[in-house]
Parts: sequence; C-alpha cells; structure tokens
Amino acid sequence: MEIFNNLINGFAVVFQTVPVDLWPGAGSLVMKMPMNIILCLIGALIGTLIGVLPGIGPIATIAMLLPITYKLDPTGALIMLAGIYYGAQYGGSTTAILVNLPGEASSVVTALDGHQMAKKGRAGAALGIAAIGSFVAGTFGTILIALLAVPLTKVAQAFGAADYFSLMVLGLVCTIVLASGSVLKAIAMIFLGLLLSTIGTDSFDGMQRMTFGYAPLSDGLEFVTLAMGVFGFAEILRNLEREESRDLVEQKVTNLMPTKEDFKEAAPAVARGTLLGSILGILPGGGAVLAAFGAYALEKKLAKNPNEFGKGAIRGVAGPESANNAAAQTSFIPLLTLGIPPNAVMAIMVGAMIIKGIVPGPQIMEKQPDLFWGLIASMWVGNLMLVIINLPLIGLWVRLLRVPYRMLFPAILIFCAIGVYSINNQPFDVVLTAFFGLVGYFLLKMGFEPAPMLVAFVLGKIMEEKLRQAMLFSRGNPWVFFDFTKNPISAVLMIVSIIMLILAVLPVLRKKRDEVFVE
Amino acid sequence: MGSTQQKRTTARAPQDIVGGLFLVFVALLALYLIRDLPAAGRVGFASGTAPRLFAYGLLGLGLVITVQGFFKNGPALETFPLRAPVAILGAVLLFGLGIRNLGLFLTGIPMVLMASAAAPGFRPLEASIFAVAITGFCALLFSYTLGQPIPLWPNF
Amino acid sequence: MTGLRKWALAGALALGSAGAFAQSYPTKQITMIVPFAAGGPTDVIARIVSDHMSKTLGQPIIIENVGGAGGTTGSTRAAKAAPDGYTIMMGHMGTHGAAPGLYPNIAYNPQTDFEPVGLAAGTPILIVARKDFPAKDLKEFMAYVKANEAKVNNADAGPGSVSNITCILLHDMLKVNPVTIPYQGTGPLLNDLVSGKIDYACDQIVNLTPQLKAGTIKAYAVAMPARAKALPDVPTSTEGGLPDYQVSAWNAIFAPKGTPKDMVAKLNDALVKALADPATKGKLEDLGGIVPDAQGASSAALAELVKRENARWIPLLKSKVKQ
Repeated sequence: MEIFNNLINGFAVVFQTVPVDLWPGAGSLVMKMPMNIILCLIGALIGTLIGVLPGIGPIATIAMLLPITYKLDPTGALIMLAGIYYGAQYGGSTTAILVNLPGEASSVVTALDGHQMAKKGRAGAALGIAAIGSFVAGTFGTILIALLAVPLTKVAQAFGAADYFSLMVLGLVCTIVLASGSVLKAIAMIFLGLLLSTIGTDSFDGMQRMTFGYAPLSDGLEFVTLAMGVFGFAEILRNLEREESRDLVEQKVTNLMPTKEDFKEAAPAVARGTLLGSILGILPGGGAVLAAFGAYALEKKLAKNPNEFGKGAIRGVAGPESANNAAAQTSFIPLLTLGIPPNAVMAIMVGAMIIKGIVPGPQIMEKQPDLFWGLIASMWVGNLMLVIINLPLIGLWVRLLRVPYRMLFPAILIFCAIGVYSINNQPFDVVLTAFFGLVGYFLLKMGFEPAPMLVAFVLGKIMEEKLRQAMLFSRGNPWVFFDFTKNPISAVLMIVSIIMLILAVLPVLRKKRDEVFVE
Repeated sequence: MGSTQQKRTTARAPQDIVGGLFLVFVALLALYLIRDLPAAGRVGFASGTAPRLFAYGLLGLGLVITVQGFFKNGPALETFPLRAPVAILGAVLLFGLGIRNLGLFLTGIPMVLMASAAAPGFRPLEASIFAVAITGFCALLFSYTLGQPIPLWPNF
Repeated sequence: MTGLRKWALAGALALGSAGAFAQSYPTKQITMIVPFAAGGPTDVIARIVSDHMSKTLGQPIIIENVGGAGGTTGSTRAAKAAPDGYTIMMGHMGTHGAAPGLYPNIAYNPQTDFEPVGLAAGTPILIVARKDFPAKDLKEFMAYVKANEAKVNNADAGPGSVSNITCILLHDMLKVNPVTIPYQGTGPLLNDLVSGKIDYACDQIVNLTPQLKAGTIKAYAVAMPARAKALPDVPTSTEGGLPDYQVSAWNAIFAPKGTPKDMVAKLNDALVKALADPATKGKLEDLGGIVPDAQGASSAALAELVKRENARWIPLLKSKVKQ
C-alpha cells in the first residue's frame, strides 16, 4: 500500500540519526543520535512547561517559543514545532484543571469538571485521563490524516458561510447545556458574551462599536483578557473569601493515576470525543472550538446522572479533552493539503515555515513528500512524547497544589499579568483584565456562571461574520439558511438546532412552574 | 434554601434582582453606545444590527430575571468584603499602569506584595522574599530566556 | 533596559563625546516594532531582514509584535518612542502609505513623525479569480465585471487590509462597485476562492504563489511594470490593458523622528548589506518579494515613496471608505 510506504518513509525521517559531537573540541565523542526525536521531545517538554504557566495560553506559548526553532533545519524545526504545539495544548489543559484558568476557548470546558476533580483531591486522575485521552485521540487523528486528508479537505471545502453560521447556532444551543445552574441565567450569560464579542472595529465596514472612541479597544477584547478576568481573578477572589477552600486541595490527594473504574467510565467518552473532535476539527473557522464543548454537551446528555457534571465527573474531562486533541490534529488538514492556515496557531506555524523557506501550498505533498509524511509521523510521535513526559510530571503538578494558597495566588497573578501583556505588548490589556475580574466576581456573587459567556464570546465573533457573509452572498435573503437545495448542510443544522433548543427549554419551563412558590 | 430565607421580604431572590438589574444596565449602556450605528444596511445587516439584537436579548433576559426574583425564593446577597478585591485588582492595575515606564522589577515586586496582602494572615517577611524571588524568576524566564520584549528597568 | 540605555546616553553626552558614542552605536540590543501579529507577512520579512542586520550591527535585534488597529497601534508607539536608535519599526504600505486615509484619528504622520531608514522589500499585487471564472484574460475580466456588476462577488481581508485597498483602487479605475465580502484575514479568503465560493480578489503575491502554481486559482495580472520572477506566466497589468493599475505592498524600516542621522545611516548600511546577502535576498525572493538595490533601499528613496503613496491613497480612501 502506498500510504503505508509513505508512512514508513515519514517515520524514517523522524527517526533518522545524525552524528553529533557530544563534547565539541574533544572530537572523540561523536555519536549517532536521533536528533529529530530529541527535538520533538524537547519541544513537547518546554511547550508543556511554558504552557502550564497560568495566563500563558497555547498561542502565546507557541509565539514565545517559535524563535528557538529558527536555528534548526526545516524538517527539524517543524518537528520541534509540532512537539511545542502538543506540549502547549496539554500545558493549557493542565492549568485549567489545576487552577481553573483556561488559556483558550476549548479548555474552558476542561476546567468545569477538571478543576472540581482537583478540588476533590483527584487532580492526578483528571490529568492522567486527559493525557491518555489526548493520546488516543491524537493517534486516531493522525491515522485519519494519513488515510483521508484529501477527501476530508473536500468536505471542509463544501462548508460555506451559511453552513458555518448554522453550525455556530447549534453550538450556542449546546452551550446552554454547559450550565449547571439556572438555564435562564445561562442564556443571559450567552447574550452577554455575544454582546461583548461585538466590541471593536466592525470587520465589515470599519465602524467603531462600543469602543468609547478609545483606540486600544478598537481591536475588540482578547479571549485571554476576558478569560483571565472572569475565570482567573474572580476565582482567586472567591477562594480568598472562603476560608475552607483557600488551600486548593480540600481533601487528601488520593491516587496519582486514574483507577480501573475511572478508565471504564471514561473510555466511551474518549471514543465519542475523538470522533466528534476529528469531524469538527477539519472545519477551519471555529470547528475546533466547537469540538470540546460539543463533546461535553454530548456526555452530559448521555449521562445517567447529569447532575454530576460540573462537580467533578471524569467523563466531563475525558470527552472534551479527547475532542480537543483530535480536533487539534485534524485541523492540520487544510494546512497540509491546501497550505491555508485554519486558525491563529496554524498561522504562526505557517510563518515559521516561511522563514525556513518552505511555503506551504497544495503541492507540498507531491513536491516535499519527506516533509509532509515526516510531519505526519512526528505528529504521532509528538502525541506519544506528551504521554511519556506528562504521566511522570503529574506527580509534580499535584505537589504544586500543596504550595500554600497565599503564595500560589500572587504567583498566578503575576504570570497572568505578564501573559496578558505579552499578547500585544499592550499594558491596557492588563488593566482591562482587572476590570473583567471585578465584573466576573460580581457575576459569580449573583449566581451567574462565566463558562457560557466565554464560549458565546468566542462563537459570537465567528457567528456574526458568517451570518453577514452569507447575507452578502444571498444579497439579503435571510431564508438561505433553510434552503435545502442551495445549503443543505445549513438547513439540516438549523432544524437540529431548533429541535435541541425545544428539548433544552421545555423541561425548564415545566420545572419553573414547579419551582415558583415552592419552598 | 436556608431557613434565613423564610422571613419574607418583598425581594425573595435578591441575587437575581441585583444581577438582573446589572444585565439591564449593561444592555442599556450598549444600546446607548451603538445609538449612531446603522441598524440595517445594503443586505439587511449592518454594523449596528448584531449588537442591537444581542443588547435587546440581554435587556429582555435581565428584566425577566429581575421580575422573577420577586416571586421566587433564592439565596440572599452575600457580603462584599473590600480587602481582597482592592488588593488583588489593585495589584493587577499597578502592573498594567506601571510595566512600560517602571519595568518589571519595580511593578512586579510591589504587585506580588500587594496581592499577598489580600489573604488574611499576611506575613510581610515571607511575602517580601517571595515577591523578589518570583519577580526575579519571571525576569529570568521571560526576558532573558525567552527574549520577550518586557521592560525590566525603569524608563524615565 | 531602556532606562539604563538612556542614562548611558545622557552620560556620554555629558562627557561631550556624542560623536564617539554614535560611532560605538549600537551598544545594546535594538527593538524592532512589528505592528502586526507574529507569523504574518510583515513579521516574516522583519525577522528575515533583522536576522542579517544584527550580524552587521553586532547587537541582537528583538522583534516586538504590537498588533492592533491595522498596524496603527504599533506605528504610534514607534513614532512616540525615544529617538535614540534603539527603537525602530517595520512599517508597510498600510501603516505608512494608506493609514491616514483610513483612520481619521490617527496619532502620527507617516511623513513627519519618522526618519525613513530604507525599503526592505516590495511585494507585487495580483488580480486573481477562482479557477473556473468565465473570463480568459484581464480584458475579458474587466468587461465581465462591468457587465455583471450586480452578480459578481469580490472578497478582501477586511477594511484597511492590502487586499481591500488595492481592490478599491481597481474598482475606482473600472468605475464599478460590486459586492465585496470581507474575511478575517487572507487564509479564510483563499479557502473560499479555492473552493469557488467567491469570484475574484486582489492580494499580495506571497499568499498566492503556491495556489497559482498548483492551479487551484488563476491570475489575470500582476500590477507591476515587469513580470514577477516567481510567476513568469502571469502578464503585467500593462500587457493586460490596464496600464494605470500599478500597485505594490511594501515593507520598510523607519526610526522615530529625531534619531541621529549617523545612527540612521548605520541602520541603513546594515539593511543594504542584508539585502545584498544572497541567502537573505533569496528568502525574500522566494516569498515573491522584490528586493531593492542600494539605491532603492536608501533613506531618500523611502522618503519619496512615502510621499508618493500618501498622495495616491489618502484622497482615494477618504472618498471611498465610510468614516
């Protein structure tokens, strides 16, 4: 089989050894070493170590570590970048679980149950299942890319603006499921998130929206600014006033690894998450964002006891983390087959490739098969490295939780401040984070949950853009979204959304009648 | 909920009422800020359409939550302690306002100190040592090792 | 660092040895502000050029990405930076050519708030279309767009982007006003061009070469006097019958106004040496860039270019873009 041969070639690139002078000058210590593997390992390790710092999300991590790869040969640089990429992603999940600080949209969901597990002394189990789930998902995603990259590209290409809009609507409906408290309040938070997403220069006609005429607001709010504020700072304030939870781990840390029961519980969630993530990941423009909490919503719907979600359900970590990683994998597809970066992280990777003299394009597969298949092989190796590095590191992370909270939270603050500052080197972003910390603290005190707001914030930007693009294409006909002949995908998604919305709201309406005037 | 709620006042779920009113305020503020943006354009949508839709939605939900708060039992308002928010958010503000002119050392150290004071049982000596250590670590990591353009020293 | 640097500068001046100081310039790392996010075309060019420049100067050049407001945030910061030779920036056609026409409240003047150091690279603009767009050549394209003004879908990377303003110029020449669909950047735009959802766009050669070589999209013209090396089959706009459509995106180094002349000269010298270096030049040309010679990369040539570009873009954009 041709693909099989190609993959073998790819692995040969990854495992190729080069003579390295271990003691420059002595000249006698030249050893053959698999440099590419070592680079991948180093990349995954430092990616994890920087990515785990609170406030430094995956995008910032990759941007900071990029220059390290400039000195390497193109293949080595790309392989190391792949390592950094996976490391940064997993490091972000680790922070979400340990200190409830999501560095990117998809870890918002991981934080929901992951951090609750950590608080119950089960951080080890949460981190372990995240690593293993990610590995399974990464392996599946890699196989998918190797076998079906080209046909999957065609699927992604079939998606038009109307289809994306309808997908985002479905995503928003799923967001309601994220809430563990009042559904009405969750919907209000969704609208608040949507409203916040419209701040900044309008991307269609350049108008200033809600910027108070203040230039630093003209690019809108950064996800990290908002997330660090409403999640991070508000959470710290909340912890400080609750005497009993000031030490992050309330109970004794039980075991570092997931138990047999954990695996049994998590395995189907991993499988479902992997599948969902692989499919959504191929869609540029928001597919990967939807994957994580789509998986969470799915798990919650399928669970026998949905009340456990939000209180430390292991399936609530396993599903989204697998989906996240599978999507991270398949989101390489448009880049590999078309040379078009589907998101900010990939755009940085393309920049790195261009500096190395590789201009990714549709011909990369034919013209540079070594690079193409080497990269695919290194993806899998990167995922493997992730497990190898992180399973032993779990002990370290869990011990970190024993650091007294009075020292942990000031450290989190300064890392967050530097992280937010470093995105645009913009001091105003830090000030804005403090403001959203205050807002988030107030909302928490009033019983509102921040997660639906953050997710809606991310989806809102894409949603409005796609909606208006679709309206431009249709010259103002709002029925395009339901047009079965022109946009069948959109029409199906819309109908599914409506059914789901009815299913989500009906029980609430019924319950409300019971709730009112009881107690 | 708790038995303290049994004493019936007009406001039965004060959290919902205050929270709902806050959302109403945000929605009205947004509507005021976008008053000059076109609500409809060449193909139906313009820069003012989506923010208006979202703001009206928020306004409606905020009102429903507020009204509902008068008829439904809910938890009482919690007290708002001042110490932690002032110390924590002040520390972050200090960093944001000082970083470019004062540099990392002169903003990071007082920031960590100020934040440490947020927790009850503040230990000045331990906190000072920790502040110097963590700021030094950040300088070492971000500026020297990763080459991030973060100012370290004051820039008068 | 800046503080120590300034004290050192003040000390040197106090000793009356300003000349000697400038001779030893640079003594510290130099910060180059890139007014866009890491990984974008301007960032890539800045990193390629600064890598070699730092060898000549003997000090590292650190890239500081200050994104926002179409590059005007970073440019404002560079304009207001201390003119001590340790803060420079990589500006481009947008920030120093077109921005005053796009942003009414812009806080700097490209001509009076900067010392031009030199042009780093020019990037040709192409008119491209989906591969099954009916027109065969530029003449047919112009006729088709005019005849089907209400039907065609143009696309760009958002207000103020290179693809936006260069197509505004094209439409101004063709006297048409078709529907233009904005995207968040070139990537998604290209995606929909390749899959045939949009009809045509104007953009920098960097983004388009791989797609054109693979035949997933087609090009009608390159807006330059001569054909591009990377794409010898694409005719020029003159050959195609629209000789006035001459436009290129360019990247150039600027220092804040008041930076001592000898420091600017040193920076320019390092730039010219970088552009003469075969490896650096090769990398820029691989991107489709046109690397200027020593004359073209001189400070005076850049000052001229900025003046010319301002005269062209500001009135056009002020009349076309809603404020």
